[in-house]
Amino acid sequence: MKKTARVRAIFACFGLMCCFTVFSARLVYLQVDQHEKYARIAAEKHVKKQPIIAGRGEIRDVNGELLAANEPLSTVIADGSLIDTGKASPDEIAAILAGPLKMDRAKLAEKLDTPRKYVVLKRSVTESEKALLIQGMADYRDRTQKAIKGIFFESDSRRVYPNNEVLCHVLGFMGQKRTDNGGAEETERMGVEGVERSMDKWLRGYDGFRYIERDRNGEEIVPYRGQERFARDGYNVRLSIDMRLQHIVETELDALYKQYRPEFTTAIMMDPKTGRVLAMANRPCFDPNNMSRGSKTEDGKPLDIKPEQMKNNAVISVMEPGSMFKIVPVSAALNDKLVSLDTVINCEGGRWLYGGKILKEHGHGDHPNLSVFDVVVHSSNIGAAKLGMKLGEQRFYEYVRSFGFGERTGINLPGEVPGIVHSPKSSGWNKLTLTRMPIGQGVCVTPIQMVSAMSAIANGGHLMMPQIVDSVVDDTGKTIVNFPAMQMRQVVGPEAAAQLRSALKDVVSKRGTAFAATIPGYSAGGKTGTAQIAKPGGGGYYDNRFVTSFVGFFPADDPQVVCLVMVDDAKAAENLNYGGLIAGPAFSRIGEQAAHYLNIPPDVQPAPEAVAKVTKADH
Amino acid sequence: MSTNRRRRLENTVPVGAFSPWLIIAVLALLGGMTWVYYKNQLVHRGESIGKMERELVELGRKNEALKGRIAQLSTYSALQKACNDGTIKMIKILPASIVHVDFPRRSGGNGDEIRAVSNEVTSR
Repeated sequence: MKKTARVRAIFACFGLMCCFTVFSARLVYLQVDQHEKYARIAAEKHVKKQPIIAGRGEIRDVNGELLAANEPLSTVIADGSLIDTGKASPDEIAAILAGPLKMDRAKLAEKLDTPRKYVVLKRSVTESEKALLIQGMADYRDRTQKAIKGIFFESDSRRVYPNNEVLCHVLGFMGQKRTDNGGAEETERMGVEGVERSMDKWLRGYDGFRYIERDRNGEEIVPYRGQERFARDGYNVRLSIDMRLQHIVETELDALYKQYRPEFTTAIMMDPKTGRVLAMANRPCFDPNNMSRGSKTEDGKPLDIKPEQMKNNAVISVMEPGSMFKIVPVSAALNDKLVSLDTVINCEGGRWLYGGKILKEHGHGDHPNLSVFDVVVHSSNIGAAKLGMKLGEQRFYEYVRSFGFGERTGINLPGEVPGIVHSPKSSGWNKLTLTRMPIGQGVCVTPIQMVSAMSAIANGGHLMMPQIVDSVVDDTGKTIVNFPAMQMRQVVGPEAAAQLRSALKDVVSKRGTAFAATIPGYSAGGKTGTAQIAKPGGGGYYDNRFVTSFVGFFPADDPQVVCLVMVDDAKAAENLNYGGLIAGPAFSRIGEQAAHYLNIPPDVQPAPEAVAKVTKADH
Repeated sequence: MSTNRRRRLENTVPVGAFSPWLIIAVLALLGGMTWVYYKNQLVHRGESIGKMERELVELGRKNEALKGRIAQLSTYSALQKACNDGTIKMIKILPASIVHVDFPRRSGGNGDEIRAVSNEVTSR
């Protein structure tokens, strides 16, 4: 009996051992051999790679005023499989959501009545709309004791530009790039124009991710978080633009655009000592807030934004500069000591036959002889052409290139063009070029090149690289990258620059061509430009269409601001269609307001009649 | 074997031999319970952390939205419009309301010493 019990016990133990061995073997098979397969299946069920979206950096002006920011938005999602399990019916949910989402209730109920797990109810829901929605759902739950299931929010954002049209060409706008990532379509946001594009790599930041495990309800189990990489928000970009000055410039451009209905008008304000752009504006313009796909006007019509509205003419448009370009031959001849300001040039009584073509003075310029000083003051074409001839083809060309014409200035804006400057060895240069280029014909420049060249004259001959980005900073204000003032080269000596400045000062006087550019209380210097518009296809010039411009600086003895105003094809009477009469007054108004804002002390005694008027008004 | 003897033999429990195992089992039970308790705590704390993270994100989003709104309302053109509408009003600061802080002039100097000056508007 005892023996039988022992045998039984041995058999039982053996049986159990076999059983455990089988289980163990199975366990080892599943855990070791098949580990990867089952781990993957489990991970697919519960683990999810959750993206952490990096916020785009802000753009601010030099004083810290916000110019581009991100507006958080939400996408409202419905999970039809969960709505079915809740106590609230699709109709009841639709009644709650329709108001805050501004959607039709019946259509919403139709969307909600679905077995699908992912239904987009509405995109681009603002924070205030979302708050209303959540409040509505909470009120319903409190009132009926029925919880609403299956409504979720997905985070999204939109770029906003608080100043609307102001500075639109500099800031640019955002666009979307769709990429196919292994069958799944991904949307990438990127800067398309302006600083948004040129500084995109600093502004965009890096997205992060984390592996999360979810429970049966789809909620994250925080302690089981896996690998995690934090997102790094984009850096903030600080521009050299001063919004107070920008508003002054834009207000004047608006007035010009309204009064003369030109093709476009451009203005740039620069600090000549550093090359920092203080203001830059163009008309026509656009509102970058409306650039997102499908934007509509207030009355529901699709927005029609024309390409010319989006052009930053300050850097991407070229035009013949006209008489503004005379600063190049005059400063070059003075610098090479070929002439002095007192050297007399024979201006041929206003008509000069050279190379089989007659070069005429504009308007009433029929002077027989003019000093170099007066060539500038009266904007003599023949005088400037003869200075160009004194320099010779090669030397003149070298000066033109040295002033930065024919090459990109390097400003931190996309799409900049180099302009057109023919070399003496090229086929574009003929025997007339040396008499036409000094007066601003046969050469194409951008407004930013012209401002840079005048800045070089204003600051003593240093050609500075135009800077529109001041620095890149992080959220704590720590500077990541600084964009310091950068001198490209010394174009002319300080003496030649000072001589030319003294002549340019007289341009803005009763003797000169730009008396209307006078800034009350301040001395100013500058040069007018009135260039005929070339016909497309090289068919000569239009008789009655002009690019009128003025580029000047103030105060004349210690220039702190250089400003260019350019108006393309102003619809004005022919006897008024001159740079000094159209762009000059705008320069004057901009200069006066800017000087007050910048607290520049007046350096000119006000006219006696102005003093008398003020004194009378005081009493 | 009589029935009484068999019952006596079958009811004999070797407590001495079992006690170490019993203690181990109790300890294991306690350990297990503690583990479950802490695991539970971990999940609850995790939920709290997750909730706070979500609140933080929400606050960040609200802050971002308000920042943009403030910027929109305080732009030059918005302020100009509000001024034109009469929503806000410019009030002239009368000369009497301006406090001029004058630094005392040093006496006995020859005029070359460094001194604080205001931004005087000069005419030449």
